[in-house]
Amino acid sequence: MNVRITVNGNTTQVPRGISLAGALYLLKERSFRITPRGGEPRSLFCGMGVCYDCVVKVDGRANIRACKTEVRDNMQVLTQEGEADLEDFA
Amino acid sequence: MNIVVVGGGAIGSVVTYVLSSRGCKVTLIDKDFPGKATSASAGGLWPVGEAIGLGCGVIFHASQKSGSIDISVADSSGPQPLPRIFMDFLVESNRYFPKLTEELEHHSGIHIETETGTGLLYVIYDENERRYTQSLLDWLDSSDTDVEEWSPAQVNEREPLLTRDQLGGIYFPGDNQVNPMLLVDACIRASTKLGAEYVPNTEVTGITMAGDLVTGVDTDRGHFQCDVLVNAAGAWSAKLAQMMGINIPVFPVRGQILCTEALRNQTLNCNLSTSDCYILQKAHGEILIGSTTEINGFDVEVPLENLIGLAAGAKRAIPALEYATVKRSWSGLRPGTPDEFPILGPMDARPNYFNATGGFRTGIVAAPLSAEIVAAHILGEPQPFDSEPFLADRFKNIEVNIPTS
Amino acid sequence: MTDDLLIIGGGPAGMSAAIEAATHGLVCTIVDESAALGGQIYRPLAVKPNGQTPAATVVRGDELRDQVQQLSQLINIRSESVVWGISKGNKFAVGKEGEGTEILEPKLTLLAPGAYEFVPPFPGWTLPGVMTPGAAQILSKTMNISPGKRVLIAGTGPLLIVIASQLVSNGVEVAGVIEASRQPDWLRLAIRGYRSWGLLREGARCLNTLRKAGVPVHYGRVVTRAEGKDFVQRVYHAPVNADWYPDFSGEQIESVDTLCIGYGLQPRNYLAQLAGCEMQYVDARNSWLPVRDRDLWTSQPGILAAGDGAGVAGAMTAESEGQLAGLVAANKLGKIDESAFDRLRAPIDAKLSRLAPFQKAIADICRIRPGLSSLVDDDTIVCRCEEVTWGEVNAAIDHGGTTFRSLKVMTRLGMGMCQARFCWPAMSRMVASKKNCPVADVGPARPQAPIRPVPLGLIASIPKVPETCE
Repeated sequence: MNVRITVNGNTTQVPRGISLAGALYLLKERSFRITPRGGEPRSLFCGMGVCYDCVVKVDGRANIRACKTEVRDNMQVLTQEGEADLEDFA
Repeated sequence: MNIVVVGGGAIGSVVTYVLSSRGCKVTLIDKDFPGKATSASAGGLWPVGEAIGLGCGVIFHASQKSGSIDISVADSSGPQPLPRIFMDFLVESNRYFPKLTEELEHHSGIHIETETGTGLLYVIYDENERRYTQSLLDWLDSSDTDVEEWSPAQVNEREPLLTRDQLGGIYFPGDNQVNPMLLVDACIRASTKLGAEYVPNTEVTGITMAGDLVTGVDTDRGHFQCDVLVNAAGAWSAKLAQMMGINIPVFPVRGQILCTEALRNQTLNCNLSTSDCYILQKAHGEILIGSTTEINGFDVEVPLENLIGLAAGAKRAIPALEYATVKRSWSGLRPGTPDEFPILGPMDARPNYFNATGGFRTGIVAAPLSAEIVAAHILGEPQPFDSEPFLADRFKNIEVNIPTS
Repeated sequence: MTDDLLIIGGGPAGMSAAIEAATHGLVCTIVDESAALGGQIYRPLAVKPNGQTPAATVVRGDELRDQVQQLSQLINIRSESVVWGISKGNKFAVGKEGEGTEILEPKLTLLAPGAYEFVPPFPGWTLPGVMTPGAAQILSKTMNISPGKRVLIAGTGPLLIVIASQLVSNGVEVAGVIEASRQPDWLRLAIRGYRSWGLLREGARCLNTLRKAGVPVHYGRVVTRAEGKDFVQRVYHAPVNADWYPDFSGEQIESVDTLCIGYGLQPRNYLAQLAGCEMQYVDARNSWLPVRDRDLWTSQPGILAAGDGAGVAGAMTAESEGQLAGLVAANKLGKIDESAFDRLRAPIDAKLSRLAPFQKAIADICRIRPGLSSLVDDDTIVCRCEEVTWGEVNAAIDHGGTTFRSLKVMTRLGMGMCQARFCWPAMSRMVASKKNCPVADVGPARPQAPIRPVPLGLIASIPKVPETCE
């Protein structure tokens, strides 16, 4: 059983029940975000929702921890550049 | 002349810097108590807004009306402006910031994130608020301060993320913001470059006297001799003064702040104030929401109800904030005084002791001129501002009610 | 209905406490951040098993989840929920996204939040592909997803070889295991036995799996840097002396695309601090722990603490402590009398006594030594969230910043989303080492509400008053 998710514009199928972090690793998308200060790539680190390094933009909302989010059908995922934007929440 | 300044917050560090730049030998002793007001401040520089009671003062007034605070202030029909001299004092102090910013960057390498062009926008929610802001504007009319009345459309044009459920606003273009933590850090580093000694993590345990004169301070790291003692201990000023048998009416007034994640910069264009809370976006991108006003001794716990109230107020003003992540909260102990004026300068009873405290809600914006006033007193120079109303001895023959809870 | 017992954390300790308490008739609520109970070590499978025998931890987790389910008339589960604030006087703000916040006022509370990994900063540790062993284990064990093509495991602690062997069993290429402690220490542990045959057997099995797969285990070495463009490509490791200071002249390079690095677990102690519990720094465990009496009460009336969150000691100890906590709660609320309580607690106490020496011995072998503080250079990021470098923090320490508060204010260290969980444990050691003072003197990171970052809307919601059924 699979779900369809779109990551940075590319739609693929991934197994139901896995975390978004797992899905991104499966899809070899290992850079989840670019940091605001140094412009450096970050990815999964602690895997348990504590470090907030694995955050991506999910369905328009930024700073969502990929390791704590289960994949859902039609999930739209964008890797994040810099900070979240308050205007996105409006 | 050895000067000891006790308290490394906004006032203490700026005083140290001003005295060091004048060639004085200064030792700054600081104990980083939890709740230090400066590090709990949002850094708004709102001389006009605060002076007429629409900055942090509105929330102050709201809690007064609800009975959670008991300070003798005028009537209760709306926030009252403080005497005009106070606004003049704050406006004059605010003028020091551009030059101070430059000097500090030059000496310390730190830019204290002083902004101009942000302005303070007070948002009016209902007719009641519109009535009393009108009376405040009438009061302001006779001065030459720059204040604008904005329609709801103008408010939203300048601040698109603000709620449309408002009746307009009052805009103070000269009221802006700074980073209070960097201000302190920069002053301390600049001062040490200019010869000052910085003694952190050190608590003053006693003051040594010879008759009426202070001779030094005892600390948990030894004794420091001094020819002049400056009390910049903020909420702890009264405790310090007590060590030489003197009472000054300074008491802690707790306030809380919520801090969001860093958000893309300049999504909020102004500093905002409402009857629920104030909202500022700092240079780093974090949005600060504050602040409550409570009297509860030196307790720095953050009551859940207060956080909920601040968050609700922020969401009401900027609905998009509902989805912003709150990262931390903290509380600070503002040094309150019975008449809301600072306490600066000498006292008859102690010839070589000087107050530099009582900044209450305006300690940051008042810091530069407060420091100049205190320095002028110490060095026997002409006063840069009529500071008679700020002397501690104004309380000498008055019965003062210090709120305890 | 006011809960008899609020249990914060649904891992081995939390589940065991709920089962025991409910067995004696207590009304319990478990609050957990995840969708399913189990905490970290007893996480359920996320996908159907792929035909292999599920790991023992999955099986045990399923057993406990079943027992909780059977007592569901007395155990209420609030999943995907977080206790974000505590008011002294035992009021807990519990929030769930999409549903808002409720303020709970239980009669008694058990803090069982568990632990997380300690990773000291080193050059390149922020690169994609560098993760904790736990993160790799979650991918591999619960989702059948490989963390990478060629994996190096490093750090210290029994989890390293467990995870290495799990990865190997799942067909992942493991380049090796780099263990900081010395092999003789582990052999001595095995010889003395410590009456924990089960754990020793498990360790031996893992080592055997690695040996058969040709995966080397290097003792007495630490990772000194990771390098790569956009993700890790090379990892350097070097031999260390007894204090874990590396001898860089002995550096070797491993070409891998994944580095799983962790130096043991540290307790999640923010809840205890926020609740006002008295904390003490336990040198042997490198952590600030809530002070507890032999009944697991903290210094705050009505608040118990159990499991790794009160002192890392493994899943079995966590289960027993949880069980004991449930019993203590039942006794406190008058459901069992003193003699029944003494009778029932005896086997739990005996088990805890039996487990304790082995756990202590492991803690001694894996005790964090000062050499781990020497891996950084000026450009190394020490606060991952705010991207603060060691150079910046070092300068601030020189300028008088020696407490969490002052360094935070001067450098932004600890002001990020992880709320100082990853930077402060290492930084407090580095400050202590620089100032030549005990780590205890530097102090813990002080949490404030929200104890975990939450959307403002969750705090802004008007708290629902819990229904009272009287």
